[in-house]
Amino acid sequence: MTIRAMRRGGTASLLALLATGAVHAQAVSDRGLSYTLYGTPGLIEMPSALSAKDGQIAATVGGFDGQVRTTFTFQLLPGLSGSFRYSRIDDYTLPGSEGQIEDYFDRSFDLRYRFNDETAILPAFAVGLQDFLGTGAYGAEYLVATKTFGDKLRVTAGLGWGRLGSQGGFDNPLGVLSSEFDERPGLDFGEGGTFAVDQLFKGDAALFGGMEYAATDDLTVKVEYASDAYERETELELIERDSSLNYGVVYRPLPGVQLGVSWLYGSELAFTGTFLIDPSERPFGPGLDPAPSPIRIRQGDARAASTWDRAVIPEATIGTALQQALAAEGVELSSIQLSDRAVRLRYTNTRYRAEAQAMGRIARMLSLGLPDSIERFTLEPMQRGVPLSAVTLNRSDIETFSDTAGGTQALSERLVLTDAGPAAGLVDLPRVDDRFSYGLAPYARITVFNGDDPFQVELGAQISGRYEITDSIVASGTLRQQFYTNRENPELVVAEGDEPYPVRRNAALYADQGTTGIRDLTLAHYGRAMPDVYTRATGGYLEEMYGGLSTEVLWKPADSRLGLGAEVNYARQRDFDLGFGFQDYDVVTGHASAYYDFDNRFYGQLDVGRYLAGDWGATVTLDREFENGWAVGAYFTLTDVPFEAYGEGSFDKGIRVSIPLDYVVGQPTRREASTSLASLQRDGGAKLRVDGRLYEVVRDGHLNDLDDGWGRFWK
Amino acid sequence: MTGGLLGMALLAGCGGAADLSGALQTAVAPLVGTQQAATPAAGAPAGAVDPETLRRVDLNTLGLTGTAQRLVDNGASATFAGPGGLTYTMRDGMLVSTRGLGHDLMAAETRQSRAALRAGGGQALRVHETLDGLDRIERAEFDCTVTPKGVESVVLGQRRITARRFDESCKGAALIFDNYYWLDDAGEVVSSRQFVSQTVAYLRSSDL
Repeated sequence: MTIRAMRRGGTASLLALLATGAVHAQAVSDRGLSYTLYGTPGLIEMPSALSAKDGQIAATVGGFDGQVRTTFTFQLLPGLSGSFRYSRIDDYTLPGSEGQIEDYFDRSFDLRYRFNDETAILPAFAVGLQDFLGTGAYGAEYLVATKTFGDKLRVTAGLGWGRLGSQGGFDNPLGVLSSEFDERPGLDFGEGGTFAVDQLFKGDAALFGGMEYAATDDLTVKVEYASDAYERETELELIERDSSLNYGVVYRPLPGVQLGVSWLYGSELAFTGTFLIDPSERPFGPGLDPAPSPIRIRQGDARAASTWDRAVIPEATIGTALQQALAAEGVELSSIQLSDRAVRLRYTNTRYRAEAQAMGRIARMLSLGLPDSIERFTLEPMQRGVPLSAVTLNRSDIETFSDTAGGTQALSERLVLTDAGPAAGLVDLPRVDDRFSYGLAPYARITVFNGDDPFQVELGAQISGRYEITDSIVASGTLRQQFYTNRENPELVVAEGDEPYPVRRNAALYADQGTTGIRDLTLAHYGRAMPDVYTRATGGYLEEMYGGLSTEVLWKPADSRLGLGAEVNYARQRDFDLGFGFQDYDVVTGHASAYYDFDNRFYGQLDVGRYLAGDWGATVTLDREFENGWAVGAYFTLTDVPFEAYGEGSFDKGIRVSIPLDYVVGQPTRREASTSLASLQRDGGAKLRVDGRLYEVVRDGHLNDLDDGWGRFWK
Repeated sequence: MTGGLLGMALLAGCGGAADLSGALQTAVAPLVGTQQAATPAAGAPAGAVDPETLRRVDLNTLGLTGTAQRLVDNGASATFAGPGGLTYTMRDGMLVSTRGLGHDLMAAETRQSRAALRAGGGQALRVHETLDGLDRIERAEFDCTVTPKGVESVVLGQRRITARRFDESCKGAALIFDNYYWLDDAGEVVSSRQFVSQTVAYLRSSDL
């Protein structure tokens, strides 16, 4: 079955439907877009109905005297955006609380959905929820419409609730539906971080609006009428609100950079800076990859040859020569099977992010060097010693479609993707690459959003080594030396009341006492039990805080959207000094997992099982992945640890971003940088961190990842 | 590394393509090896290499100028390696792909343009493919007009010949470019300036 055929066979998913509903061709809505002090597309403080370009990430720092808001806004779908915000408000406390906190830190999360594209007559309409998952300090909801007139002028008008209904408010028009909408209930804050659903669209509503005028291509002038009364802030005398009119100007010195100044409420001077990243626009374009070897096209009758003279070219010579030639492409050839008409290779691609690109490079070498009678190339990519799939290409197709318009597509329709074949028939080649590898690198660990101590940093150097005993049995370890940290004498956290055991909260003690130590030291084995079933066993010092044994099994056919896995671990807490010693706490933890590739670039994962503190629950993860390797996602974990016992945030949740390094440097590499943005790691719903979980290892060689990278086949 | 390259050369040599062995030893060697290696033919004594396999290549925008050597001769098409590790493929004198330039021309459909050159002018539809930021192939179509520009005297290496010049003006949805060709009496393209991509602009290639 070809890539194309399998795609057609894919089932329509709920998410696909949701996405198609949301996908309207991007019209004028992202033109001349600028950002509010809340880091969302809009006026100065008030939102508009606009959306950024699909996939764009905007980082905004906005603030005025006594308040700084740092916001990341991601355009999840053409109409749907999400914002994560971290704010500092001096001398603030939430409504209903006593006293004032010198440095009040607050996290908030917004969603906005745009219903339609603007047309000649119709404005764009959007609905938004502001701070609906956090403390509610910025809590508001709105319906808003925006219309562009000509090239220069844009007008926005909206109806707001919550904060946006606090100035000039009137009886909630939704009161006609139910009297429940008339009153906005007080915020039941608890530990924060829960969905304040009982407040949404309740209480007084108010109108807001404004205008934007593009004076030049680089300069936009704005004026707005703001319906936020800043009730709590004026009560605490943090801000004087003398006017509802705000004025602002935004300047774009460079593409992707916006700087703004505004005059708020007749009393405050505010500044914003916004930096835009578009994952689909690579700084180095398609990449500065060195040119591949050329393709040799067999001439005349050569294609008809049915065999070749093994007395002239022994099979062993071909294997050895290919192995050495492919090494120049960062491809380690492990074994080969030759017949008169076909060749099958097992190899590990160590250089190219897209397995498809490595395949293209290998196919070129094969066309160049192999005897003419060999027509069929079967390529079996491996990672960690495990074959992932088998892609069979016809040599004639390689010859026909190279340098030919439509050739990339045509080849993808003709290739055959199957499970990797049996080991029988393959001739192992002696390894020529180094079994041992090591690296020395600096490391930095930045912990932000921690309630009391919002910015902790740790700097140092680490040396890591890796020895491949066989292709699939690997010993590896990392030694760490810390040079600097601003953490101050952390105290040992012990569980109080019904709190879970502090399985993660003592992280600071590891940083404090483990200044020189073993970050990890493991022996890992990977295997393929059956064609679609992969296994992993990792033992040793698995991560900074835990050691033990981790075992995993994954079912994932090469052409399936669905993967199913199970993991069982025995983990014991390590000593704080990162030595060989262990503490008393141990636990059996593990999950059953389902992985699903929805259409429209969304990947979901569901893990159900027992977490590190012995709590039972489930984690839901949803990532939007770009063909070029970028991924932006969010996750949350709910377990049987009650919200009060969990503490700040109520339950574990976060946003994660993964950036392929070739995007940044423009040179082929398989490395990537991943980070979690919003996670406040506490003890409920905590997972063991094990390197090299199977799904991530296996998926590169499977249908969807191959298809995503297929454009690079000839690169 | 050397062993591997010799191995490849050996393989190819025995595989049936007689002249490939030589090409591999001299050209593929640095190509599949380190890209920093000097361009094979640059500075090589003229007598050592068949001038038939050499081209003079210029990429003004990237500041790349030098001699390119043919890596493989596939009859209708041939691939050349030039300065800075670049390679390009010509099919019957028409540029159909480049590599190693970043914003490469991944593939091109140029048969109508070639036919118009042969016919002494005319209309042609041309297709170029490039790779976008999400690793997808982007297809662009161009409406082209090939116009004869009379006979000009051109310098090819040490010799000067008279050739018929043609200009090809192409217009696509977002792009306009002009290719120039010089054809000898046999109708072969002996020199040309052809469009690669917006960033790279034009590649000039001339026989020596």
